[in-house]
Amino acid sequence: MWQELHHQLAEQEALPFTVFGVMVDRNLADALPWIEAAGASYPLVVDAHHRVPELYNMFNVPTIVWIDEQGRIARPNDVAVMNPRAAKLVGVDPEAYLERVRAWARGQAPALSSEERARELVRERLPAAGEQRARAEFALGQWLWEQGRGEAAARHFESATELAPGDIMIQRGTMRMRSMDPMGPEYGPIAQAIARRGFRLHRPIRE
Amino acid sequence: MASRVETLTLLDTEGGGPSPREVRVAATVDGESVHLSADDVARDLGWRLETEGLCRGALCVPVPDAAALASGDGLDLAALAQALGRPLALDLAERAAALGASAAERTAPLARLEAPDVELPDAAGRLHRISDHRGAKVVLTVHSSW
Repeated sequence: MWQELHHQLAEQEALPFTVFGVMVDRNLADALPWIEAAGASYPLVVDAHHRVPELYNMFNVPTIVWIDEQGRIARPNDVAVMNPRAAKLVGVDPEAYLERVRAWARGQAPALSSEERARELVRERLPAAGEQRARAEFALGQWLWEQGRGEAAARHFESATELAPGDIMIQRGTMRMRSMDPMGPEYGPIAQAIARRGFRLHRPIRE
Repeated sequence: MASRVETLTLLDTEGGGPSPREVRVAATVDGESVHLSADDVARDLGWRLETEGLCRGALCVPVPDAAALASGDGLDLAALAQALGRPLALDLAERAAALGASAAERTAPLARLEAPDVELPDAAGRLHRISDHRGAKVVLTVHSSW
């Protein structure tokens, strides 16, 4: 979906526009099949250490941010998925979403009703001290895992989960480093525990 | 008290590079407390304890409890993190720690609607920055293989 959109706006219409794709995966090997399938003519990078999720305070994938020509956040953390079943689950309309991107890229419509709305949305989800503590535990855990210290790493991933129980990026993103399959049945109970503690799995923008 | 100088790996996650900055500092461990060499802290993290507080270049952070922070020629790691308002993850058995970024540090650009910048490699190892695209509208899409 993103390649098609990028090709249309940046290449066919030659607008000052780009998609900038980020794969949050523990290493290139995990991300590579997706990168190859994407066939991207836009920058598509691997973020093994969750730099983008930390800087933008993202708690799950997919997360989309619109950034304007001056490097300002025009539309903060939002969700867009193309698969019809997933889209229904998340509660977004993929075609309407893409149409909104096109209108914004062509200068026909603003990213949001107002800049104040963007500020309001950002204020609703600023990083909390506990979330930053969780990210420090995650960083230490990942480094230990990279040193072959899997058991020590798992303890820090568990601390991170306790500190930020709504952070799916950490909980699901560390499953492979804890010998679990994030796409397998082991994710079910994790997702249920997150929901039971009152956290939503996706928070699309409601305008 | 038996304590000896060892090496602690300290991960500094504040910057915008692809991975945390990894530094090795001399440390003495006494029970649960870790004292870092003040010279190593100055060299690797940039912070030095002065009369005004903890200073890095022209920036000084007041230290309400200097006695808890400094002892001899060392700085207490937990007190240092607290004075800087930064989260600390510590694994004494593994002789490793991560010094994270404070919520205030991460909040500041977002609250001003400034898109934080980062430098990350593509599959060919080429580095890209979001700011390479100033002058264009950017749709930042974050996905994962899971």
